[in-house]
Amino acid sequence: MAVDMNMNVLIVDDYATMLRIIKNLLKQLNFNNVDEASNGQQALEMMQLKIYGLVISDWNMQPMTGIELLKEVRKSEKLKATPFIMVTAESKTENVVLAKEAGVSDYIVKPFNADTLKGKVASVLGAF
Amino acid sequence: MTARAETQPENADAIVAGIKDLSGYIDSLRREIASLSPGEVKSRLIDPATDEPDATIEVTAAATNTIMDVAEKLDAFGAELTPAQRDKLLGFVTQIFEACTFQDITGQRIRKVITAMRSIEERIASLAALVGGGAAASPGKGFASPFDNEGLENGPQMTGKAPSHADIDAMFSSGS
Repeated sequence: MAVDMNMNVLIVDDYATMLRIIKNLLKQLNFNNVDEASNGQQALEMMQLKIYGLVISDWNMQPMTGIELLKEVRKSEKLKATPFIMVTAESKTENVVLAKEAGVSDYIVKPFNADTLKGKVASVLGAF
Repeated sequence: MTARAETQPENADAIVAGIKDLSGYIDSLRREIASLSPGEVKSRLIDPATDEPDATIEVTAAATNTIMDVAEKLDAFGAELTPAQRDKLLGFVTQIFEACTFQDITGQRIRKVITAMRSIEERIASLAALVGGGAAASPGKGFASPFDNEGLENGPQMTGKAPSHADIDAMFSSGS
């Protein structure tokens, strides 16, 4: 099934520069409906109001971290099927295992390039 | 029993001498730790040493945003080009965005160093407080700080702590 390039994508990072970078890279992949949240709490609230086809989230944020957001998403009947990619500088094995156990769809380690982002998004959503 | 009685005074003297040595050593250690002057370490080393990386993060963030402003303009300009030219330009713009991720990683690494320095500051203060020193125990400049204003080559200056270019221009134009 073809990927709906008009789907809503939510990117979550407490660092405005990184939000801007990911948004631009997604735009170049032809995802134009991209919303931004600066922490997990804000993202969760936004997810209650709008359907997102993909969430791309950082790990270290307050008041709700990326892993806490992921756990909240996975335990919600309404949200649990949402594809969720973690984009983080945390690359220790235990972090990856923790995210995997929490149900993350894929994992990107910062710094990353456009090809990596494209590959991970494709692995989660299907080729586009 | 006799042998024990003979050796006891010697042992006791040795123990007393040992305790005196130890006591002297502890006193000297206390003085050394107290002289760490945590208040001075904080004001002359830790605070400026953490201000500098904070400023680095701010400056690199501003520069990164400027770079991305230009990259976004280039991206938009691509609409005016032929498809082949636009694709080529897009490739270059993508490389710019990718390179800009350095700023996030750099910022995170620098913040770790700042946290570590704050932790050192707290530990020094705790240790000094434990042996009777503390913030008040600041006898003076017992160590050199690269952030003191006494020497040359102390730049770059922090924003707001030194004359701006406009201030310097004003000094030149006023002849002062």
